[in-house]
Amino acid sequence: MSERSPNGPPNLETLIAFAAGELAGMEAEIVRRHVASHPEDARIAAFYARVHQTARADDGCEPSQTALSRARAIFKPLAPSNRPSWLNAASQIIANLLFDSRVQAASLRSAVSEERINLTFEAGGMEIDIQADRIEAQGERRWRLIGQVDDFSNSRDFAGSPIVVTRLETDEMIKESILDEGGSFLVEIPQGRFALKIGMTGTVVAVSPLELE
Amino acid sequence: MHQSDPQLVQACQAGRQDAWNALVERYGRLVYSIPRRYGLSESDADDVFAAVWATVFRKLGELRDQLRLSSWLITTTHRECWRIGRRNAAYKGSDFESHFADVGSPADDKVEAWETQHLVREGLKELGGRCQELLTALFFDAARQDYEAVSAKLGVPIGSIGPTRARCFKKLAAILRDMGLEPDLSEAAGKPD
Repeated sequence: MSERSPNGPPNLETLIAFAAGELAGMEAEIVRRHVASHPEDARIAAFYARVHQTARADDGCEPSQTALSRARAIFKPLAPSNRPSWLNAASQIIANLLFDSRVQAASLRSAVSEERINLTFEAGGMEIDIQADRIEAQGERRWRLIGQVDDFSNSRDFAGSPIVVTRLETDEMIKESILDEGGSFLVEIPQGRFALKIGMTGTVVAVSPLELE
Repeated sequence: MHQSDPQLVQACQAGRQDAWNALVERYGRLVYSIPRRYGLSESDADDVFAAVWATVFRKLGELRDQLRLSSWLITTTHRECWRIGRRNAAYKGSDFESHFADVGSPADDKVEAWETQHLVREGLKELGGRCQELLTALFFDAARQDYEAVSAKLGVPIGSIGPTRARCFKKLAAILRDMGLEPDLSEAAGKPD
């Protein structure tokens, strides 16, 4: 395979043949001794072996054209024109989940209805309670969300604050509403994974993910 | 011309569909392979694939400085596999569950191996031309190094495969080095062919 000079150092072709395991007998032994005392050539041989073995171990597979097409179709220009401008607020607070009745349901399954989910979130001194009831509307299973935003300090007035529900996967806005004078809201949404966003002065509070399958 | 991940992400943020397509093309195999390795069906793997790209789209605004996109994609895909796979009773008690000692992330050695495989494939794409064809044939296609088969497939004399492989690997090594794959082969640049 190689045309290495018998007395000279192995060239790149020979080093690679060695790394590929193609040399045998005395030829392999000579190169083995050479790389043992020449770290830079040892690295070249080791790198070839690594790349070669990496490629050989690659058991991955290509996605179908259908899967690729779906993935390409997810993209759409950002910030579509129908998005409310308050969603572009400089700061965003992600609400922390404090309570999820589904977690409790694992140990108290008989006592908790799977048709109702209670969630409590905390964000920036506010508590957001959401009761999700599964309903049937026009032959479709949906969720009715009844929520309330409470301010721990009682210093903020939430009346008229805008809220939107967006699909988690696509950021598509599917519901818009406002908080009433008590900080409450009511929206109906389909099953899926969502983000609920509430517009405060200069801030967006995001309840995400909101998984209602 | 090869665009870096941050360049592609920024182009996506600017609303360019072609950049998004390039991103999906670049990482499609890496993402799709994970659910299949975990034993998910083609249908579930398709769902994982769509969910991961939906997450990428949603997080585009946070990806500006995301230089470690591949490891982030691997972690995201791992979590989506768990989310989708755990709902399917067919996977209960199967090999599927063995991949989730940590639901948050796959083992480090897996992440490293998959990232390296991805880089090698991307490096070969970047190499292009006859060199890509030759190294792909030598690395991936033949079950063993079968020079006669490679010679017949590519129409090159058997005697020229070794020298050409050396020249091509030198170029590939430089590309992989630029992509961050160690070891640094700067010494190889001065190695006579």
